[in-house]
Amino acid sequence: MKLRLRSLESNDTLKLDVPNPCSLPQLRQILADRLSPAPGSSFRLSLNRTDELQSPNPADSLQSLGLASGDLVYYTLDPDGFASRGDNSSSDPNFSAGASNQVSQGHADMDSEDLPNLAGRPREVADSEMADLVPEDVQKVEVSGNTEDRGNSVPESDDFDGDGFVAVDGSVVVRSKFSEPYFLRRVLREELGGDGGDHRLLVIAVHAVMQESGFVAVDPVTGIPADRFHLPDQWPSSAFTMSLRYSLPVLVSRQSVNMPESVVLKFQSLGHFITIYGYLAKVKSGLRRICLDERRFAPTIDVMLAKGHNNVEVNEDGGPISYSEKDVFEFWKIVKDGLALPLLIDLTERVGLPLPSCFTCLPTELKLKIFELLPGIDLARVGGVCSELRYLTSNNDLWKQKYVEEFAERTERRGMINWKQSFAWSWEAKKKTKRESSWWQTPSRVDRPFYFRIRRDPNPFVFPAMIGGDYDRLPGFGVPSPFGQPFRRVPFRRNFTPNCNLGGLNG
Amino acid sequence: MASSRKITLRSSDGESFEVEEAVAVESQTIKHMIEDDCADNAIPLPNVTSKILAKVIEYCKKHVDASKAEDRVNDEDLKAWDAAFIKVDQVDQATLFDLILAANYLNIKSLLDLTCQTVADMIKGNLFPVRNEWLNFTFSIANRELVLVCLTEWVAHRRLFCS
Repeated sequence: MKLRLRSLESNDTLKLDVPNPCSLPQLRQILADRLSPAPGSSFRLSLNRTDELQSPNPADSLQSLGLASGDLVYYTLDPDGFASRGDNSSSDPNFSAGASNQVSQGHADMDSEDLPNLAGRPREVADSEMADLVPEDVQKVEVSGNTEDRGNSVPESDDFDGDGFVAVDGSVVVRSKFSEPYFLRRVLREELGGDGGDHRLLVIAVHAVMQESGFVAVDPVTGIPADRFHLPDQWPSSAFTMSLRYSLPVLVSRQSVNMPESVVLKFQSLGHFITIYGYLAKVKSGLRRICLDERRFAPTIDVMLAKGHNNVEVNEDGGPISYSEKDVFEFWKIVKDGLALPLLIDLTERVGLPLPSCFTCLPTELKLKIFELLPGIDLARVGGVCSELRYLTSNNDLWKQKYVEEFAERTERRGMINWKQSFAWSWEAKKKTKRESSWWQTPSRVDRPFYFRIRRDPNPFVFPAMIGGDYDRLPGFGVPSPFGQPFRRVPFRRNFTPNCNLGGLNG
Repeated sequence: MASSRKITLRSSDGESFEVEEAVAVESQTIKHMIEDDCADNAIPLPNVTSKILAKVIEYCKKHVDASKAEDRVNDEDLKAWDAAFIKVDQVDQATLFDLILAANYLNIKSLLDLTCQTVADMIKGNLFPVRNEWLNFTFSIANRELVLVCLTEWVAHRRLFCS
């Protein structure tokens, strides 16, 4: 199998082809042969630049250590080059305190379970993924930059390295394969030591979605990024609650002292439903809520996970989808669109970072392009959302086009026509002609001009109460001529509508 | 005509995709880069992530294949494929908007039209209810604002007509 070996100090990369199966000492020897006269044993190897690769049994193949073809391995001659975090379990207390306040810590069990269960994917690889995630994202300005390998185009390798991956066998096959299940599977495999039942599966799956959106889990107490969640194996089968905290890598690196701006996810399970609430931690506003049916999603995710276990590498055929990937997608979509994305938008908005992909971050000409495709009413609805959108949708030419589409009327007019208003009046006229019969029966307030429909205010006519003078004597005073359309309008005093148009003072 | 020369495209996160030239030139941007002879090594696309680039390539490939086969026969099939490609429950919003931005950057008109139409349909169909986080705003007007607008205009109007 092919491996890339990179020096920790100089960042030179070597491409090596090692025989299958190969053991760690053999690899060291090959490296030594290539590089320098130093004996093989003085080389230290690591996957994540932090933890050293060690094989307790020298005959262990590299695969059992978690190396796969195409992996990037760091080497150094310095025996302390990889300042290991000591015992793996000693790092746990820091992070286990952070997992949640109500969940008991079963991390000791986790560790021992991990290695045999995750056939060949030891913790250090998972850590490397997290560790890589944090520094990689810091360099990117865009919050939504995803550094993980999407796995789309590589036929055979689980390479977690964020930077510059070139296909192993020289040619890349682009697969028509969606990456979400693959990503989900990968995170699940790492986090899920044993089998914690449906609850755990879903919680970790949600965690995966948050990660994909660019969030990084932080310890709620200290605010530092937490590498793993130490979720217990035995979860109470009935209702339980737990909470997780997330932030953005940029924020985490920015504020090292205090708790960075973060987002809290609260899980509540009730029967076979899990409800997840998400909100901004500091402001406690903008509550988002989604509800997941465990019975529906857990089995699917389980199946997908199991399928992934059988072949550690990616599915060979990107073709017909056998298991219900559709359900996985639906799960993904519910969590992402309902929770992760809105929370991301809230957080970035609050902090002042550039927004992730959403409508507002489209360039203006693209927004206008989309508006052109909308019918008139929907355009007006969009215009009612905020002042910025109202300004965007008030383009006269745009409204002219809508008017023509809707009413197919003559288009040459004298002078400057406010097409938006014309549209509004014509629309209103159309509505009125339909309502003629009921109009006589309900003489009280009937007219509501088109643009007032959008209002939620219960008493939209507060200001006509101030009308007096000419407007009372001549109720029809100031009502504009309806641009040549037959427009029967008996003006009631209270239904006077001033000749205003939104966005202009044409009078 | 260059016979299926392979072009390498590199996404923003460093992944390389090798595609036939015919597929790559569906994008006007890439086409111009090739014509200007910048395409010796991989073409870097710093605005497109690998996930999105994979989807774009899939789209272009399908369209190139469809046009190579009999022209008219596959029109409806192609439309059906397009609909499935961009189907609302297959593609989440972030991906959809990323696709729009990518199609805009790469200048692939058909993909841009398809994605914009999808967004317009979403707005039309009110798939996003009143309290609309999708558009990142709420659909109810700030009432004060509207009253203020109308009031100022009414005052101006009054001044004009009554004085």
